[in-house]
Amino acid sequence: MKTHQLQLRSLAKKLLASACLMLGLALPLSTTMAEEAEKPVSLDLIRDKEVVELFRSLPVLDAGRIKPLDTVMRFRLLRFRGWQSVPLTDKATGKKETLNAMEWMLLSWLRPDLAKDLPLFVVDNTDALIEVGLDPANKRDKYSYNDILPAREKLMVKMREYSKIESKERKPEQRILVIVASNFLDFEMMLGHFDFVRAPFGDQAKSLPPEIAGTTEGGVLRLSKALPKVMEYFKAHPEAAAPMANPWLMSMYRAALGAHMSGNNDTVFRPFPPTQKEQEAWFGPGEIIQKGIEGGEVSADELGRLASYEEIYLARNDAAAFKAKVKAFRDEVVKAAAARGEAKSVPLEISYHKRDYFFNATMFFVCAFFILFASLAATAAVSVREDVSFFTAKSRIGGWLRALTWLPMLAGAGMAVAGIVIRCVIMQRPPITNLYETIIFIATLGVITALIAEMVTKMGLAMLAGCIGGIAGLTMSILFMNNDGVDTMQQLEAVLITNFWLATHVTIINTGYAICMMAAIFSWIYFGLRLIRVVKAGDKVAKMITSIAYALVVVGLLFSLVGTVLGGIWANYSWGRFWGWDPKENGALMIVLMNLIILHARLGGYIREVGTHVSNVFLGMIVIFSWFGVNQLGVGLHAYGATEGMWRWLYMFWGSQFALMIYGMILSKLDKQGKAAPAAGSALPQAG
Amino acid sequence: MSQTSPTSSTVSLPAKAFRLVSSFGFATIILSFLLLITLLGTLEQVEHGLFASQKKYFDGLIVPNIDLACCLRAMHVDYKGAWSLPLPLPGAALLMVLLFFNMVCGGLIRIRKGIRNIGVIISHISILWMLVAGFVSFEWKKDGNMALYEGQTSDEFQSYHDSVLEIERIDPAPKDGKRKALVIDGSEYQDLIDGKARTFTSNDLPFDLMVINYEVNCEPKRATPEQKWAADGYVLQRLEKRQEAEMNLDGAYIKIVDKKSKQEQTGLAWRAAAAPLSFKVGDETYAIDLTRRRWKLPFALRLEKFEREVHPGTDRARKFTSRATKITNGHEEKKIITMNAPVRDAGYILFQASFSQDRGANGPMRSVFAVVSNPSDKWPEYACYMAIVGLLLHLIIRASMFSRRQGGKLTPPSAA
Repeated sequence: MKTHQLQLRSLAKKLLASACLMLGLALPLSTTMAEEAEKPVSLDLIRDKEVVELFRSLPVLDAGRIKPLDTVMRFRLLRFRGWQSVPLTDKATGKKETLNAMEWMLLSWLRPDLAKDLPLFVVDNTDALIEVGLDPANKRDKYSYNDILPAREKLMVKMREYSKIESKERKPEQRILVIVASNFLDFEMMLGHFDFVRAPFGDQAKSLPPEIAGTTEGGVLRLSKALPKVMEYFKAHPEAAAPMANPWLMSMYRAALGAHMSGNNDTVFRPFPPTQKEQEAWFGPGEIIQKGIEGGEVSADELGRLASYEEIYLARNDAAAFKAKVKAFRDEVVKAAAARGEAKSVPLEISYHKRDYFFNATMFFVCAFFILFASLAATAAVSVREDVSFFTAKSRIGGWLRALTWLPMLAGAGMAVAGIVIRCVIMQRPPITNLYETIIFIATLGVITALIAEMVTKMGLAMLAGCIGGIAGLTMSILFMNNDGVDTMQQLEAVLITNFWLATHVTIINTGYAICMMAAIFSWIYFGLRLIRVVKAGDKVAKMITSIAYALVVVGLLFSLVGTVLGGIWANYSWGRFWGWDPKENGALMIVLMNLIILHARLGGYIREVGTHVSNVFLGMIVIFSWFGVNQLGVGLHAYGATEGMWRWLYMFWGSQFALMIYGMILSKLDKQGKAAPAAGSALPQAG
Repeated sequence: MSQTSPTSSTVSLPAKAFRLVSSFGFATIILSFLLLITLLGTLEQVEHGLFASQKKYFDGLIVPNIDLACCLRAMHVDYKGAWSLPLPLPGAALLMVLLFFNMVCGGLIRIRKGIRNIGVIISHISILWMLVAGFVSFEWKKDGNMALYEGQTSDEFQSYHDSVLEIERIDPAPKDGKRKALVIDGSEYQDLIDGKARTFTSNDLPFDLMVINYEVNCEPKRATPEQKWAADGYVLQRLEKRQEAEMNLDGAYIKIVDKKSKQEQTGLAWRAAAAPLSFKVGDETYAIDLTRRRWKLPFALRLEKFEREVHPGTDRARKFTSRATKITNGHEEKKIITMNAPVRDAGYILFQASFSQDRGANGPMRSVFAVVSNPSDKWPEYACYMAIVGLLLHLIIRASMFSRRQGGKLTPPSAA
């Protein structure tokens, strides 16, 4: 194990060194020469469903986890583009089609000439573009590889310069440039992925020593055959192993980088399961090549894997042969992984992505919202026609529609629960291990809480709260995932690897967040109904909403308090300290304190109906601070979730909530005035 | 908490005070202040670090001022200037004491006793227990760390923050071979900033020791001729305080005055010095070491092997494991200390905290253990179970009362 880790570290260092070398030369990978002279691969092959499915289900090791290649490419495209699809325009006809992540990968591998024109990179900062000498397009436009290529050299210089600045100290344009440069390089590696087959020595094949050049087969120089000769040659001629003095070795390095497909050691392309059971890390074509040229031992098995992977590319112009090679390769990997007891959840993960549980759940909630809205409109029409209060008006259609709302709500909640359960099965972990999972969990639990409240109250208001919570929460999860562009199922840091505490502390505290947020949403509804004058202070509906909101505060206190204390017990169990005033701990404490303030202020009579709702809105603001805000501070043990652009969203939310609180305070004042002088009347509803 | 009470004219002053301290209003105010200072203390951590922020907001009775500029910057408001609001606020320690009295008076004594409030009373007791646990821990907890290379043995651990000056006679060495040192607590000299000095004397020492000009974070530099505080040609150059207080390297000038000859010697005591400062007084040699407070363990620990596992294909840690031998009076016991699995013995708990590596990726690794002795170690856990019982009981009682009020049937208002 130790030797293996040292090898990994050494490889990571070497990889970085090679990348730096590339940056130093500021030269793009050599996808062009050989590839452009060849017969282009048919686009039909790239769109072929069978080919796409075969690559989609290929297990690979990425970021410490074995997952389908589908997952890797989805999140890579998301990171580059902010979407999991990309449009391809036929230059001749102007016809557009949409490529999914696997088709995009295949296009980049097999038709880099077309992939270079795809609108791929988000550069959401005009200053960043100007800084590297590019003309900014419209803000939402995406830039292609060819658009950015003229600025490549400047981009690399800036990346090196800004990478030295602490990430939280970087200006927005500096942050963007570092991200764009990194994405650009990764895509460049993707474009050159098969350079190790089509031109392993770049344009330096003619300068190869005869003992290496003589390994051609049918005019093709295959690296799987040439690599042992290269290794022998370096043993005999150590002076040739210096890449700066040896152009063909430099080209080999470039080819190795392309085969890696990533400048980050954690995410290099690793589709080969090792034959030795005790070796955990899978390996890829790039590692084999790099090991060979850096004096490592390359086994016959590794060369065999490299050869079978080469054959896929060599068969690219014969669709049937290509499919057969891909299938044979995929099947071999799946079989080897199965023999090691790995990659069992790959099919489940592919299905998880295909079914897009949380997007579909959101759609169900949107559908429920419209039905509910129609139900409320029907009831409102009866209320106006019969001149009775909205909540005493009886509308048959309204009743039917309200009952019908249950269907999409239950379907949405079911989809979301299924999505969460499948994630637990794939990761073999409790439902929450990262910030993304807190969002889907809290949104789903919020909906379930609202549905339970609706079963009790049967007024449609809890259903409305569920719709709002579900739509807002799951939309937020989608935006968060798109913005982050990182696989949402990640391996955990050492101290977090404990299913017991993840299942107890983390789940309970997030349940507390969910319930407190639902309390806040009920208060939003209260203010909304007061604003449209459907509800008056102190009437039965107002009392009912207040009772539910207050009950949620009490239940929220239970979960928040117990969750917070369990967090302390975990910290005591793991580090020997119960409480360390860490920002996340403080955030959780603030929620508990706010719950207690509401309870005591209400019991003491300092706040009544409107006061309770104003306090609940403030509670919601604190929950959001604890949930997202403290992660943005960049300090403490829980500073794991800083997200680009999050502050803007936080201020928008807090601003809206402050406005609501001010409205509540005005309402409270007017209610009191109304009580004191009922004859004087008021623009807003009177206190009941 | 009772709501009915005699009219204010008939109420005595102690009774009034009791009513005030036990009131919901008092509880609300304390909790609101606690909320405010928790927020401010969290935001100030961004620039001042956890240690300084904890001392200011959470360990003290009074918070003297609020660094509003820091709070704004923490919230990503682009404010460049300095803005300190000299508004004293109660510190968390004071607020928790007040909360304790409020809960005892209001939540235990004044509250109506009965089945209706049994859950609330249990919950209050659990929170009181947690506050007591926090106080016991604050006063009596010892915590620090022990770093060991493979094959190394130690029976002492070092505080993370507490600075002390240790004075030890090293020549002639003690006859029994046991180290004996006089210790000056950090609180006795940490106020000696900006040229202040204090003399320490002991009947056991043949000299008086003067500590001059303490610096929280500094490094020795060769002195220029105009610098007056030079010792052996070196001065302590002040450095900016680090956010992580344990990273600060403190130092001070030391002057020794021989009690007999009145001869003076000067030197620098610096935390990161390669060796303690040594003086010869008469025929004896003394070492003065500015170090972290150290505590003895009732056993020794020898690190046999340290293993760091990573997630495959990454450098991301998956597990740290130390295989160690615990030695108590010559008796050896094999132990495995790993993440989330500490070793507990004789009132001490050893946790796998982290590791450090010397000289790059291939240098020798040191396993770092957090060592804690806390008399209230398990109290929060028991209090938490109690809080769960209390709050659940309260919810169940409330729900059944609500249900009974509704006649066992909950109906929406439209049907009423």
